[in-house]
Amino acid sequence: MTGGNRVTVKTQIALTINSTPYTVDSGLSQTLLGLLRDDLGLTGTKEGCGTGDCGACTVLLDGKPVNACLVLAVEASGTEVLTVEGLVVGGELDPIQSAFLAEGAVQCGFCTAGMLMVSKALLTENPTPTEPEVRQAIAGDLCRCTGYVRIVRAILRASEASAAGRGN
Amino acid sequence: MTLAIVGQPVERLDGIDKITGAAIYAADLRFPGMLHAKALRSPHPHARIVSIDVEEARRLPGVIAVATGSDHPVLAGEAV
Repeated sequence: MTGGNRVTVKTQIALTINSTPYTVDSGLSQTLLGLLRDDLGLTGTKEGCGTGDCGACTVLLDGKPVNACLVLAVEASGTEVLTVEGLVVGGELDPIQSAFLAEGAVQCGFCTAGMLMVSKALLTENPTPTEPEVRQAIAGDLCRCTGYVRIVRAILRASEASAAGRGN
Repeated sequence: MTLAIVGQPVERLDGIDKITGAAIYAADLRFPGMLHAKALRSPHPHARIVSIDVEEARRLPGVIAVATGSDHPVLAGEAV
């Protein structure tokens, strides 16, 4: 977005995004979402409402899910950011991604990145969540296709898949 | 009888793109020199437009054009 006649003060920040270190110049009012999408071209993270209501822009900041539209880029300085583009490791889909595909939890796909990221945070912290815990975890993520049942099923499936992988 | 497609779970053709963030949506498109448009709608339902003063908007730095209904006096479907 052009700043018009406003003075744009830029500051240099260093952060890690999807295991890659970046040093970037960011305007002081730029959001983390703007940095990811506009400056770095990581458009997998979506902007839904831009006001922290819909969860579409959820990324993990040091492992915690945050709305990237409400975090200033400068606040993310020195942190590790994980976006949907970072879920594939070594050419392998994350089990959560495979589960979304297998359960038909993806429709228009606009909420998907946010849903995947909160699921990733949930299953990292709590590998065997109950269904209410899954619903609680995605409470901040709106799906306007209203595909919640399949999304919840996918997260539970991913949990079972990783439990089986661990031999539990 | 087991059918290949009917009754079988079918993976979405665009599924992989959507779960990896590779799918491109309109808001993800970037072109060199791309301009951005903003629609300003009336805050009043069923209001009659008496006049629209766009001069202040035109004077804003970075504004390339301001378009109103008078730039497009014929509505779609109307006989010319």
